[in-house]
Amino acid sequence: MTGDIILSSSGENPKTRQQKQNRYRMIVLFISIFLALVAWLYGYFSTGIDVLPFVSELLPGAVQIDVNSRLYIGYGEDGSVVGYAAVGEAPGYAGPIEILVGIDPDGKVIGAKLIQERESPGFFRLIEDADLIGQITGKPMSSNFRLGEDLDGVSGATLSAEGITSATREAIRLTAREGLDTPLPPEKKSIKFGIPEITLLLLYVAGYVGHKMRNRGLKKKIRLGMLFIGMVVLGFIYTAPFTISMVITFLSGYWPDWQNNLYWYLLIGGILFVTTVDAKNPYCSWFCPFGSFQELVSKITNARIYKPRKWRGAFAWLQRGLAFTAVLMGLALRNPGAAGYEPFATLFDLRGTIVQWVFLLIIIFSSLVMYRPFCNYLCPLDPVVDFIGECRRLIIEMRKKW
Amino acid sequence: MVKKSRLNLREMLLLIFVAVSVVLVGFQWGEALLGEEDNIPDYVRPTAAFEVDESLYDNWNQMDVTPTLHHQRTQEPKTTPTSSQ
Repeated sequence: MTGDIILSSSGENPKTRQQKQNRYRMIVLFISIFLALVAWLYGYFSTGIDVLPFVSELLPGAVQIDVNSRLYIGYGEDGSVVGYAAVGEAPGYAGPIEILVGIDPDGKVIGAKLIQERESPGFFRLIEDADLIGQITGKPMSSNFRLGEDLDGVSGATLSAEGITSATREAIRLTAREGLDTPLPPEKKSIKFGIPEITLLLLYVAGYVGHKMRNRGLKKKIRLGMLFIGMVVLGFIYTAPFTISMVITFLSGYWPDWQNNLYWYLLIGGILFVTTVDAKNPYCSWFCPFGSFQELVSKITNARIYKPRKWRGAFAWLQRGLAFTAVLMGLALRNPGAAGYEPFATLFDLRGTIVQWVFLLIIIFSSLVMYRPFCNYLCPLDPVVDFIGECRRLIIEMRKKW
Repeated sequence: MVKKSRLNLREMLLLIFVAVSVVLVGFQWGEALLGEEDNIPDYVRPTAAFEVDESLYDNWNQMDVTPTLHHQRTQEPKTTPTSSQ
């Protein structure tokens, strides 16, 4: 048989068919990149906030406002300064948060307005309940403006609340420095490195070592242990799984400060690193909290994976379509929080709308008859990892050619 | 024959699961984009297009606004606020 040309059932040479498929994949890859770029540019040029109306609300006695970069100085009818308003920016859960803080000439906060945010409404309901903006108002600018110190923490929306307080501090420092000419001491930034970061690093290392193991029994035990730790620590305790919002935040360029968001960098950087260098994705199969939960439910009935051959291609493209729509939507609207559709927060934080609860219940019931239904048919991360793998393959091929 | 019909039932259930899930994902996007205005605090700008509250502009347009340095954040207003605190 050596040297014979093996023809496929369609009568086509497999090599030619492979070449055709590669060409097709490359075209799809380039179209995807082009569309994402268009969405990114659209988002970049179409978002913008007019701040002045907010300034006039915060400084009601002002008849003239001087604009000095991010600082607004309000003058009264007699020409005296009636107050200052400054814009502060800090990363939130799903992108930058901008807050306008009004300060009177004596250095007291007279009001604050959230002028831009990307967070999901659920987080802001929690912030509203804690009356965080109300807590900021009335304090002297020398206050700490820190959660757990002079401001109450917001359980379940820590990142959003920290974004607001951090942006507030930035606005106040700007006013103190450039408006009141009484600079505040520089802000101390400590690196946040705790249980979630340590757990994540250990899981990455264990996942990397684990998938290279030859002893199948031990490998299975390690994997089950990791799945359990992932579900409990990254899921139920910290509610910090990898989401499509993180990918969109990353692509939008809303990179948070690393000192406070080391976990974000470890999660995104880790997945990028292992999928580009090792071409393996330990996250999904070894410690994804939601995947672990589905697997746990599947164990009740010993449900197996079900992927009928005739639908496999269509379902794969549907999953890619959902993920790609989420990315385009997030980039075009510059709203990563709105694009995500994973039911992670509903399960791990017991927080969600009726639709999200229905979605979660359907997935849980489906897990009784199918192995990881969300991961296999709907999760946007699988296509993201595929996409990275495809780019990696393309680069390797190009390097070989050149 | 029995085996075949069971397989078809599983297949049908799978198709229903995927179809219902896609519809629910669509609803979630709709919810997120349109926002739940009743539940959002007044200082939060929803993700949907904002309605123009012209009175705000009337007020500040009467003022004398002087950009003192290079940066002027206000270009053509793309979005306008509805909230008041």
